Amino acid sequence: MLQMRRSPMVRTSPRFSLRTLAMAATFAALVTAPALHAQALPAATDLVAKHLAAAGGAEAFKSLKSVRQVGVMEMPSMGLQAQAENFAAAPNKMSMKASIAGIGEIISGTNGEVAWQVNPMQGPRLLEEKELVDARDAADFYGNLMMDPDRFSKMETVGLVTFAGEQAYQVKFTRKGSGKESTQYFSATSGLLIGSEATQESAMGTTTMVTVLGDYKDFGGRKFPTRSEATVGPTKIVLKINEVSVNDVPDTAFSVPDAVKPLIRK
Amino acid sequence: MATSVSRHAEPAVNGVAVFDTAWSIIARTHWDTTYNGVNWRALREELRPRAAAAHNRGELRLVLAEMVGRLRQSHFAIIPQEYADADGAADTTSGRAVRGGGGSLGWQFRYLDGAMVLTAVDSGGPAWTAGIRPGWTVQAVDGCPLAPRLAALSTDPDPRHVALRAFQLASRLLDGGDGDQIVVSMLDGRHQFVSRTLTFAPPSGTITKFGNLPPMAAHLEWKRVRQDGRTIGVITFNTWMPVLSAQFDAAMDSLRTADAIVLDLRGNLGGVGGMSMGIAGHFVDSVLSLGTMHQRGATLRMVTNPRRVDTRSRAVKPFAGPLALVVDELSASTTEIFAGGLQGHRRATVFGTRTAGQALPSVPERLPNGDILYHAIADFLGPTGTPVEGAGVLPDHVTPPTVRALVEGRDPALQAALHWAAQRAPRHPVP
Repeated sequence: MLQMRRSPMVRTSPRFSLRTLAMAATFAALVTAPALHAQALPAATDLVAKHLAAAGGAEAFKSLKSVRQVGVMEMPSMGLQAQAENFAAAPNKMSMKASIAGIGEIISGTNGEVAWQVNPMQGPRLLEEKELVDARDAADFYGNLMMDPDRFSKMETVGLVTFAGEQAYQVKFTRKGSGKESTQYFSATSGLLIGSEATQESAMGTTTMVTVLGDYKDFGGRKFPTRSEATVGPTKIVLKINEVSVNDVPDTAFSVPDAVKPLIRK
Repeated sequence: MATSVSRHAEPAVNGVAVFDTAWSIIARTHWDTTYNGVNWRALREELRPRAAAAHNRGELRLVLAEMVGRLRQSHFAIIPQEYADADGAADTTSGRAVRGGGGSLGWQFRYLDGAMVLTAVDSGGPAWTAGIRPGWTVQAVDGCPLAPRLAALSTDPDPRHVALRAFQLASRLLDGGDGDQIVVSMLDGRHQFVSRTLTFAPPSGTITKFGNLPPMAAHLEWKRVRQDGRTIGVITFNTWMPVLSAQFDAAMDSLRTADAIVLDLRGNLGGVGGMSMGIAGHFVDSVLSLGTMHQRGATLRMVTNPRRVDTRSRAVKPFAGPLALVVDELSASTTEIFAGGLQGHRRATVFGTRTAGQALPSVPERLPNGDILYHAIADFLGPTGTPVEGAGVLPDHVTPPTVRALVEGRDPALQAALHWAAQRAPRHPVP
């Protein structure tokens, strides 16, 4: 029996796109007192600043209102390939379309109020509870893009580790509101964000996803990783981005699909 | 359905690399770190030299098949590249006339009482047109007797395994491409020996390719049946392939007013597991777990998605009437997850015979030489917490077929399901 890992297929792609842009800043006052051994480590805010600088500078990203990414998503363990298109817009919208041969078009998104998934195999679905919270976190445009300080209750550099074969600073983030924790990895060499580890919520349960980012390329003065490799349990999903455009996403990209509308309680 | 040019005789290139890749994939993804009691490292040391010595693809495949076979679990296999990437070309390498694959003779067969018996014949299909009817027993194919080959399979203590292997054997022997001819000798319903030359028709349904899996014909049919004054919707589909999802949704739209629904899942060997959650959602009004996948590093519930929207984006309620499922020993994998899950929640009543007990979630991963390593990546426990692997789904009403019933034109399992569904259907108030 083939098991179709719906959760990562549907949800990693938009998240990839936002993590692609992920940068950080924080209130120093909110950072808990660092452990003695961590005092030699750079502050999380410094790592974020270094990442921003390496990716094109904070100002370049502040000017963004929306981002569109086009690429190919692959599930090597199944031989599946999808044409993927991700959209994100300020302040809290995102959507994703993935066209997979043999399955059809899978879409997901949120307009800031409701969040949805439509999968030909499973039908339309409105996200609720933890999934909705997760979707809203993932759609927090500037929160993910600039890591606005007021988005996090905690941000702490916890170590220098080897991640994806590279020396990297390990930084733990805790979101305000949802309290969701994630770990981000910043290259000790380039300063760029090279990966993350976080839980993700789906109807099927909570899983941990490890994402490796790489192949940063310049798109209009801003660097984006063009390769994301996510691992959930034994499953690997690869997203290769070949096109990035900014400030050109129409609002219709975040319209609630017709199949989802009847599910919304008035 | 794939028949294509065999590449068994091609030289094995980088046999060790292929072997190491396959070994490593299982080492990394098998959910059970004891590998079902197999010393996985020692197995590598044992078999690796044989992989290195393999002269051709065929020999290498035997080594790989032995490796995965030692696990003694379902959903571990090596799929030759020529099957996975089949284009329907006939095998011409053996020097003898051979048929293509994927055509249809318009019949179903099962291993029954030690023989291969026709359990259904489609009216209008090649077999029906030739006068062949259910209950007839296949004796020989192109002059080669079937009985000795079937007898060689009967050493397995699990009759379901024998039935599956017999079915696979007969499927290979009775395969052919559109327009190919085959001579089949049979015993008819009066035990008379008859022989017919049949011409294969195009496969019914849609040819679909899903990732690294070989192409296959997916088909779905539905109809309304009047039974005891009630209207019963009957839906049959042969595989859980996404190409059928929209067809199933449309069938449900048409059958939403039926008094009861019967899903005939006999011979449905499985497919894409995620599809079971969407199909089950047509019959439940809440999120239910059909069971749990236990992977290495992740535990996931297979949950239903209550279907509250129809194909025209209108609000509807999931079907709440009686639901009967008909299964047999060739109902496997996703079919078992679906049937066992709904049975466990008492949402469906199951008829037929015990299912295959082969329900491990799996993926088809390509090896460096192009062959496919089909391997399980999770254990699966049903909604009551018991494994479906091995045990399968035991019907609430065990209704096996018999040759006599088939000859008489009866289908005991389906008839029992229809009768039950009609009896359970709500009685409409008399005005």
